[in-house]
Amino acid sequence: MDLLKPEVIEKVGALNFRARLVVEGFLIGLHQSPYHGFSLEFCEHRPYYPGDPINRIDWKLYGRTDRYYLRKYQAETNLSAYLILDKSKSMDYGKEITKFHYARTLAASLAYLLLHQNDSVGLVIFDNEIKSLIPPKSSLNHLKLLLRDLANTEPSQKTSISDVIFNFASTIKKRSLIIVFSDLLEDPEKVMKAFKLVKVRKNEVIVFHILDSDEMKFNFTEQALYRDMEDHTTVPVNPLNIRDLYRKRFNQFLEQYRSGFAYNRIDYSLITTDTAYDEALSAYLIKRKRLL
Amino acid sequence: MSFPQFLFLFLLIPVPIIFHFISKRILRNKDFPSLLFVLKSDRRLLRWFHLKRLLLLLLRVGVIVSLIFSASNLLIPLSFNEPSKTIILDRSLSMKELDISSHKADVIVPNRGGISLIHKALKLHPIGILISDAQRNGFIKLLRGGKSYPGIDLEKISLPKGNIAIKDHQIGSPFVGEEVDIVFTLLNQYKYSKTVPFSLYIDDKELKRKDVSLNQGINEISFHLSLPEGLHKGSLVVYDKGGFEFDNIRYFTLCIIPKTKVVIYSSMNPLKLLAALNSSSFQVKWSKGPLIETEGDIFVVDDFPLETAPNSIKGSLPGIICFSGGVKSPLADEIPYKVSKIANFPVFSPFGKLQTICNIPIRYNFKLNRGQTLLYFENGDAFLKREGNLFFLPISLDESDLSLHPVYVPFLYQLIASLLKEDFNKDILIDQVVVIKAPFKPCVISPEGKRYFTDSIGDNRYLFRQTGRPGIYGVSDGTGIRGYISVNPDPTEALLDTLKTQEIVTLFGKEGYNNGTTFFLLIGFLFFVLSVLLERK
Repeated sequence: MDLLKPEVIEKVGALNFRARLVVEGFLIGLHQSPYHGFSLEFCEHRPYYPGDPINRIDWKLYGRTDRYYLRKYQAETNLSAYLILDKSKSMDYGKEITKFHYARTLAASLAYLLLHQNDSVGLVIFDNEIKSLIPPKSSLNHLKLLLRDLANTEPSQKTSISDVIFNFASTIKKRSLIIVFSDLLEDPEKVMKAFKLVKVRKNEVIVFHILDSDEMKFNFTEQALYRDMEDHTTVPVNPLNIRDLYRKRFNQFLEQYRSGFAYNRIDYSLITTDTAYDEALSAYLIKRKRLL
Repeated sequence: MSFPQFLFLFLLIPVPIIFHFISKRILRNKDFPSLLFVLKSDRRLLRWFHLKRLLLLLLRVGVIVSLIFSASNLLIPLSFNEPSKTIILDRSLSMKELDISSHKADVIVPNRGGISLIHKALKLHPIGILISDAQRNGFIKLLRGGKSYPGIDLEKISLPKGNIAIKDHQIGSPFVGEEVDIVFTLLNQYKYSKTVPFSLYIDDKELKRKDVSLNQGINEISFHLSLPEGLHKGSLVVYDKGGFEFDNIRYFTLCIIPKTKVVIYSSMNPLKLLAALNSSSFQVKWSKGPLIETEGDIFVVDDFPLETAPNSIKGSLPGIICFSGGVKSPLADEIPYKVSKIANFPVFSPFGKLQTICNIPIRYNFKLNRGQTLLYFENGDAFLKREGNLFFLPISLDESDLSLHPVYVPFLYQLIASLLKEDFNKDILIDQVVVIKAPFKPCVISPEGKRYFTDSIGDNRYLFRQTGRPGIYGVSDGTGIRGYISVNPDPTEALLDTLKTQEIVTLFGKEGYNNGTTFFLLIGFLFFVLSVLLERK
């Protein structure tokens, strides 16, 4: 699985190849096809035969009929998924691979995965407002459009996730799966309010909180003028003096998101840019499977 | 400020300022997304980061400024002790001889007027503390020319809020049978009237004790005493606990003169002289002459002829010779005369107390040329001369401008008393040298009972120098006390108002300010420690 490490994947030039590489590599590593059961739509019951997985037995029906039936899901669904990518300037941070590049590759991989599962996938790219919106479609040709849009995007501007999510939630008419890729550097309370609205409208939400490991550890030693990447204000800081304070405040910040998303039953994955893509994807799929 | 040459170090002040701005440029800009996002929630912390740099700048500038002030020995409005190598202690009487020298090592003690000793001490020990009340003894030399003396630390010591000093005393005619008036001059330097008890001691016995209310400023209290003839010693004690103690005692001596037979030689009836000497103290006889020097205890020749040389008088008896030439009324006889007043009296003259005599214009027509001049006219002519037992005057004692004045009788009594008193009865100030005239070699017994021998200077005169302590000294001929010497402190030392503002500014730089070397060194060190701690915070 070393091939799926971000630094390796990033060496592949084209985004579509990277997405394919990630997904195919990921599928090869799995013992069980993710296609089974990866759906939101229930289809029918069928009788149980020896050898069938026990965990798919419908125990409620067994309670009523005293017979074993399995729940059968529709393999091809008409699920529509939105990939929402934060392209704010703060996403442009990273040594070997920036948060934005990581998020973009992850989004492309998920687009590839979803489209090959016959789901329809749309793309929203935003900073302080929605910069690009591609409605969901399920054809494989749609993938090219998504990947081209992703490839042509570079980070800029400030971010305003809460406003974007709030506005976007009000425009979604069909129940959808919304997958967000962002560093969520905004007031957690405002962000949670926006996601709550999305959730109220019966949408499923998955949040990939993408951070650099520097942001987690803050292991700098050199005194410097630290400049905010979005509003460009500077402050002279000796990291040694402020490290503990920073870590404490940053963990509080993460904990606010963790507890907020858990409270609202929103799937939340904290991923650093040195995490292998397959780990990110499998973590996502495992959580997704558990939800179903 | 003792070393202003160090002020050139102020040129170093821009160094931390330049460093401050350069460091801002030297610091690398680092883009980081989450730091400020996290810290923005705490605006006070952000402000602190900016304030910290400013504080660091100020502290670094403070370190340099403090070091410069420390090096230049700036004066500050604070007082604190500084370690020093030399303590120079003024041991003059106004400091009441605080005997610090016996307890502390390395103490240099300039005695009275010891400014030269201070200079010598400072040459050996350039850093020193001078403990003094900065009274006038020699300090005026220090002030003259507005010089400042690097290395001298003049510590101001608070003086008492007030003081009652016995500054002087006057003793009236000490003739037997009459009450002797002793008048003491006191100075109340409190800002209010104060009642204090006094005790008068004569011959070691407390004769009188009374409470006296003293007004602010100069006061006089008098005692009227009837004393037997002979030598007496005495002292007046004031119990003033709030002020100086050294001026609370005034020592004095008395010689009560026995009844005296006075023979007056005059061609005319000396009515005024006879009236003036008509008391129980005198037995007076008028004679038209000729002069018989063996008759009586004292003689007065009131109209000694001008053309007669006074050399004919042997001086075996004490006497007063008035060269008036028999002229009773210079105006009437149209003899040329001069008019002048008596010049200011020498302070220590026995006639010094009769200051009012200065205001009398006196006509005279004889120029004295024999004896030692005791009093002068304002124009330089002698008014009173003395040679041995004889006084010479250029006027008649019976018919002159002086005889119409109230000071006439006291002056006459003083003349007679001066001729009859023992020579070695003295009232002097401390540290003055006494000349004792005696037919024997006297020894002097100090107040502590220590005997001192005197140095002969010829002509039956002897010198005594060891008058460093106040008190009554006895003059002995080896068999008994023949006279007393009272030694009192200089009354000018009792003055509390010692230094003028300009003098204080010259001495102390500025009133109430103190040496800041250590203070600024400590402040600089404190700034340095704070800057290190702040940088690490």
